[in-house]
Amino acid sequence: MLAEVAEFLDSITTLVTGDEIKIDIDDREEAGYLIDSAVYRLDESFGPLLTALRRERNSVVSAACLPTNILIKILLYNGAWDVFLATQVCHTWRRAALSHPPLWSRINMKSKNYSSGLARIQLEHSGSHPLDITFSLIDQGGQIVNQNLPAQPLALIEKASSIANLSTRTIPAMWTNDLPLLNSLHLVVDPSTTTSNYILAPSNLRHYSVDFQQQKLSFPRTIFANLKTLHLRMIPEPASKVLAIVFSSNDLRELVLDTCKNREDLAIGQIDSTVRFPSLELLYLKEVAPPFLSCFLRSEVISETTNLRIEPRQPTPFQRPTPASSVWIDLDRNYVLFEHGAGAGVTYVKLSDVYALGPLYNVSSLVIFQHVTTLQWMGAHIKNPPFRWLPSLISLTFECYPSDQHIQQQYLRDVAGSHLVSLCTHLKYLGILIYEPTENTYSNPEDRPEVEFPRFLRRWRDVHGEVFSEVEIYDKYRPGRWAQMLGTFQDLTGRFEIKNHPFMDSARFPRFPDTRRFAVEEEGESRPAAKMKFKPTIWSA
Amino acid sequence: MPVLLVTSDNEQFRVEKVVAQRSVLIKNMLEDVGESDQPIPLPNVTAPVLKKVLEYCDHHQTDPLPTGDEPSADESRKRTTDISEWDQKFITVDQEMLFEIILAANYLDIKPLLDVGCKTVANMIKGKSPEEIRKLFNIVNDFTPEEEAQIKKENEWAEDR
Repeated sequence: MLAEVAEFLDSITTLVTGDEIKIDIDDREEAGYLIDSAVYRLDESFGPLLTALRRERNSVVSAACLPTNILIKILLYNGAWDVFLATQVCHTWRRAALSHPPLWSRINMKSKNYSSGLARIQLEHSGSHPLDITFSLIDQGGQIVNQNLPAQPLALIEKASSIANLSTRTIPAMWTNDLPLLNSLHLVVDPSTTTSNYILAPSNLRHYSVDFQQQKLSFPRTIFANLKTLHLRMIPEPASKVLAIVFSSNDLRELVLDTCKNREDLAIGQIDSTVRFPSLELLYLKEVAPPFLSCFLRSEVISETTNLRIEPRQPTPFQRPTPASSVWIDLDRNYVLFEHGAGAGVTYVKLSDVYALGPLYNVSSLVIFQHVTTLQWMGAHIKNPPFRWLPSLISLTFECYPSDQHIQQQYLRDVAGSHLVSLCTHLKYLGILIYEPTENTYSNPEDRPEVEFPRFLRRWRDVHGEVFSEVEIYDKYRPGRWAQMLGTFQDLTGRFEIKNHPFMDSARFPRFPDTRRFAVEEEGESRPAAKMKFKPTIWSA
Repeated sequence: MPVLLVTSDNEQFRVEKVVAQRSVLIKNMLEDVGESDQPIPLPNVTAPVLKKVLEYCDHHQTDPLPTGDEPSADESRKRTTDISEWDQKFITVDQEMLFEIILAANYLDIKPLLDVGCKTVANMIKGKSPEEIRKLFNIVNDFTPEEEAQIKKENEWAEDR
């Protein structure tokens, strides 16, 4: 059939060629009409045939005949602009992209390709699917300014299930629409607007984040009815008032207090005894003033909390590559993870580099340390490790900084010594990361870690009657010294491995659960899914 | 216990059950037939593609199986296009094989592999014009005049800052 069509078309082109088409009549108007008519008839006759032939041609191209569900899946990984361009590739792609409204529902005014025209196209193609809107707020000489604001933002807001970077300036005062579709809201208080008559109270809100910018803003009770996540940043209220506000929600699962500077500690401890604290999966206190720690680190709160993270107010001038100055305690699963700087600015729990666990341990009702199975101690030295508190420890990871280039040296023997052998009898795993940039750290060669460590392993074997189960070592500067003695270590362990990368991010270790992210940074950038309950992977058997 | 898979071009592959079961389709088939040494026919997959798919399944045999209630249900949030180093190497194949792998992963119901394939194509088209995408994949413009008119109108809108 196709061969016949080709033959037919060839026969036509032999009938008349381009050179033969000439206007040779005097009446130019009539000539124009005749040519228009010929073009029209050609279009009419051959246009559909041309399209059909091209579609047929695409039907043998893999990319052009992918099933709709796969095309949609591919396009879901791209931003609105790329989806828009994809609709102009071919009929199959266009049909797939237009058939799936969620592809069009994310309007990001921070994206470099954003235009109000694109928003209009998205609004049209998203149909009745709720929108996910990110406004663009930029700091202009201390003022927070709305960039790329569409002419009628309220029309978009009313269609949204998720809004990030909404400025109080964008919402008119006394605007009472209860936005029943709205599920997630990140609100930024504009210091230059009056917020006293501001009464936005979405009725079905699940996730709420407010950047107060040290300004007062009221909290209508209705907001808390279904709230699961609450992030409060730069709230000017005192701790006790914040505690009373946030715990009026029974369904709350995640609470983040960030940069709360109010130092008044009025009425701490005088909490209404009838208040029932919600069971939090995550309580994250980041750069808060001491009264907030006093107020929130109470047994009623901690006993209902799964993950607790405290980040000091001041990052410490710490030479070691700590990922963050913080303490993370997974209370539910009895993991403790320490990533803290030396003697950081948390004054209430008095974190010190040696006895960081101490203050929490002493409040015996807060954390049951004897059940802790995994300890990841990063960034601070543990010269007198409190292993007596951790008799159930199965897995221990720590860092060694033996060089005197570091303010605080941490030798391998400080941790892997006789205390560990005698007190942590269930220990099955040691992960050791060694950073020793200079070669002449040890005056006595017997002190070198590759010499010390076999002594520890032999002691373990002598005391427990069996070899130590598993060791992983990452030596940034001199991995060769371990490789040279591989046979010795393999004889003294069930499994010994020299890693060629720092293994802190490997699946073996539980990671601090992601907090909900309310704002996208840039189009195409990854955005974690809604927070799930944290599931550690280690030693699950 | 090994499982026998038969491709559309009649080639046989004997693989460990734990590897074959990365495919939800095969897993369900095995559960339906119970303990049996019957070969499993895979009429939509050719031998070279199955070989490649099994390489992926073998490497990822100990990964946790994706569950139905994953956050991916929230489709509009699925934006990340990060691919692990091994997967990236694995998926560095010619275009034809890439699309064959995607189709096979879809048919065999191997979600993580389908994700890797789709992310790869998504990365290939990111930032490209329609014409560049057509050229990349050897696609021709097959729009009707009506579709062309609609596209022209939308392009005029999109220029409206």
